[in-house]
Amino acid sequence: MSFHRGSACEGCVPEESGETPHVDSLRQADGNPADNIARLMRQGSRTSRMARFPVCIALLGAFLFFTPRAEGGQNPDHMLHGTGVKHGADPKRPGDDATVSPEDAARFLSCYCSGHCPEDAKNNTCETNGQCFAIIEEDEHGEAILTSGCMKYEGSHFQCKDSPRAQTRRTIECCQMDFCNRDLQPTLPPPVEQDPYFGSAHWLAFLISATVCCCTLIAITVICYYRYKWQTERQRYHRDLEQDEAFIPVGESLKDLINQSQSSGSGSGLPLLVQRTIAKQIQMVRQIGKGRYGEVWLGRWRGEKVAVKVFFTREEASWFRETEIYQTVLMRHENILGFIAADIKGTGSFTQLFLITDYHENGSLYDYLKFTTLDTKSLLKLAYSAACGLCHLHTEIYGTQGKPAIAHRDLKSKNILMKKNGTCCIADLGLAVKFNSDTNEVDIPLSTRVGTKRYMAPEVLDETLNKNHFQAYIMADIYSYGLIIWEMARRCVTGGIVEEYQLPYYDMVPTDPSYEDMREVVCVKCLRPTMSNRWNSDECLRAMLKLMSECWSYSPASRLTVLRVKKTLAKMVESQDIKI
Amino acid sequence: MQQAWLSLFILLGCDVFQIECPESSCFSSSHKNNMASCSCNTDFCNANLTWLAPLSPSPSSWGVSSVCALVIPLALLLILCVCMCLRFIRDGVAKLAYGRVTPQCSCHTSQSSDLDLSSIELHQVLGQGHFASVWSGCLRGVPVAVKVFPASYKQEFLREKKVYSLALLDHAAVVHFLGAGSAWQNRDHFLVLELATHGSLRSFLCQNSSSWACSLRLARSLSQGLAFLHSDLQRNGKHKPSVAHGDLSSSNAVVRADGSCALCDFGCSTILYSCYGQQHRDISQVNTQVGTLCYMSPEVLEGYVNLGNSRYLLQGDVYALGLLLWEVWTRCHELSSGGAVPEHQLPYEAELGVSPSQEDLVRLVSECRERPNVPKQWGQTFQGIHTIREILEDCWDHDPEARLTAQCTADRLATLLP
Repeated sequence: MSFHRGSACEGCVPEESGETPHVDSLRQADGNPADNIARLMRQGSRTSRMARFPVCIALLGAFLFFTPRAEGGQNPDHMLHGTGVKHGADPKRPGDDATVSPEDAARFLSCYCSGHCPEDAKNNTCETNGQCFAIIEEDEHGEAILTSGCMKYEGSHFQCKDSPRAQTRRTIECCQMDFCNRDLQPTLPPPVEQDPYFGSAHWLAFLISATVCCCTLIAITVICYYRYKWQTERQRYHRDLEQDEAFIPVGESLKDLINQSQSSGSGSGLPLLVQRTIAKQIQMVRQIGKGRYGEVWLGRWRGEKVAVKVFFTREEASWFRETEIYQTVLMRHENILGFIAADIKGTGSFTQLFLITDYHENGSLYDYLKFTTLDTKSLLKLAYSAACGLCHLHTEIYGTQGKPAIAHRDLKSKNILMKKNGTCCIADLGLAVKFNSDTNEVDIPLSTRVGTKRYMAPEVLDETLNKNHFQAYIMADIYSYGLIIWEMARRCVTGGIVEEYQLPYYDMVPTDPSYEDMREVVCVKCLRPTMSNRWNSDECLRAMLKLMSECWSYSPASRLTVLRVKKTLAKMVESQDIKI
Repeated sequence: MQQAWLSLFILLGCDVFQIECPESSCFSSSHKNNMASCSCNTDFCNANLTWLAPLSPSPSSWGVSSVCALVIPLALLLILCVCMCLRFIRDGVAKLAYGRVTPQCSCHTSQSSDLDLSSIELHQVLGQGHFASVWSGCLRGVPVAVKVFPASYKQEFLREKKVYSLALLDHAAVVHFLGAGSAWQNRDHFLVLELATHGSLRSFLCQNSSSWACSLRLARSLSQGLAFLHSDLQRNGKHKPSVAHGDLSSSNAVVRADGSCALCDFGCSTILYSCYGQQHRDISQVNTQVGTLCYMSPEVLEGYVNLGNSRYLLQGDVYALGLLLWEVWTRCHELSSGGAVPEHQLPYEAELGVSPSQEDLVRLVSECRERPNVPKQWGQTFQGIHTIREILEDCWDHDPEARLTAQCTADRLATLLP
């Protein structure tokens, strides 16, 4: 645009030698100041950005001004009443009227001039056929200089409507009276800041891009660092493992090892290095179970059978918890699954979490009860051993090397393993909660796992359980225990009658019940597993019935404690004269 | 479009001094700064101007690029944020699922304005306790019991008043609290309680032997009262923490006209505020041996209780409840079949006399694990005798953990037929 303005002006100002002398003299007379200004403007606005609105208007005005000439080709319009340089007049083409203008009009306007005086100016006075002007501009030192002079007619309309967005700060004012420019007081336009809209958008975009890039870079770096650290840690772990290869003397059995570790006094499982070594030396034989948490394999270590629980990677929290609980001091008990070792095996892309425990070939209580019936003696023995295990879990042992109280939280027949001698042991401590009365804090695992819905106590189902009150978890365990002894009692033969094995609430909820199903039955309808009439006719079963109904009562406050259950069962055993 | 217009206009002012244009028409496609220029040097050449509108409008091109520059990083940032948020939410949910805290610290008290002693007529002294004397009186025409604490026992008064003014402490088996106040220049303090016709359980048992139905009523109300006291209730936005009585004895229960018992005398009680799940109480109250000696549980007598866990207080109450039930049942006709109903005796009175020393009690109760005698001939013909024995034995079990809860005792008693 500015370029155009310039060229338009140039087009209006004959500079070539081929002009008529008359024109030449005209140019001599007043062309210079105007040219100066034109040049000035050119310089100023060549690099300037597009000046939008005011210039548009100016151009529109100029357009209106020029259009008739372009169309009509001649007829000086009413504005062109002065003389001026005949612009665009080409002497070689005399027939061309397109640029006929009042070029030889007399110079009728006298102006005051300073700084832009033509050579023939006298007394700081110049004459023009165009307009007088005054210009204020900022020089390179930032000082305002006010100059004035004559502007010839050609292009004066353009020049007088200068762009306010020119590179240099300047203002031109024009007038058409003799010496009128003496009174003109143009003021500098306000400093033009970088176009805020245009500039800031780009700047903001750049800023945001830079910030995001930086953040991403930092994040990536941090992640890479931690990954690297993790991997080196692992490598070191494996190196360690290789070094431990010969840690366990040949000929030592698991029993020896465990006895050694127990006699050392800690009672919290084997030393870590031994555990790792054992874990590495285990041969997997076959899969014996599968669940939501992972798989259970039969393994072999130096000819001894062990159970290897392989956790899915997503169940890492569960593995961690179970290991942590098993490593607790004084955890070893005949009615709690014997822990041997825990290990992590990283095979490049994924991690395997192992938990190695004693192997009980009878499988879980669930499997056992399915295919075996009990008599009152074995029922009491089984129930008593389960109560002993639970009692050991629940009881806090005080002392410097004390055992915290532990609530199981996922007690069910599938989590109880049958031993060969007709007793059972409690397994799967992946959800357990610890409580230490010294610190008075309930240590809840972070995993998102929840217990088995079928065995959930009413207060767990309707979420009224106070999650920070340890006693509440204990009470919920008792409820589950009540359901388990119901399962046992069904399989107890009295008078030649026995019920087939069923899960609790088998007749009230569908398989794999939802929370809603369970809540409906357990909390709303307050139903409990049904018992057959034969139970009342047998003394032992009647007592068991009473026991279980006191275990699964709706209100946690009215449930028995596990020690009470244990003692009651012991009394029953005594009265039945059974040796355990 | 306007841009094109304007440019078109500019083009009309062709530069006459440039002679490069070979065509007779003005043609240009170059545009800079939204301007297009062309030059020609034939007559009217600038009239036949051809304007090739730029294919992609340049004015918006800067916009596209900067919009891209803005949008892409912002989108990245957004995705990053969303990912982090999702992770956070997932973790948060996991934590929430286990870490939900129901603050139960608030211990609502029902406000009652102080009573003026002048509105009460005091009639006679009913009894004299360790800290206070109990008067019978009349408040607005209603007979009441007034428990007057001398100024030196203000702590006991405040403690008892605090228990009575707990919210939701309104149960049939707890003495109704009518008000509290101070008199004689705030030196003496008094509690106004419901007046029970038969007086304390001990005097009732001393004077009367009871039928099975009557003794069962006494036993039930005792166990229900204790179960209520021990319960941690939340109702109508109010919270009642569990309260351990601490001094349960036959003189601290009263018998109403309808033959039911009500617990009173909470001077040794402990309110177990369950703050953030954990029951805690004033650690300043470390004197565990409070209450009546012969009703003290073996672990309290020996002094090996875990002070960190307040459950021992509740378990001690249940032990005392067992002794109380024994007291009630020793005065029951049906149980002592054949022989006459024996005189009322305090627990261990037969073994150690009326006021046994602590050493004797420790030896008998804790070391020898003796309990009040439940005669073999008790209710031989009686249906529920097995349950009764079980309840007593389970209540006063040596192992505090093996004792029943008060609620369980109440439930078992509820199964007995009157």
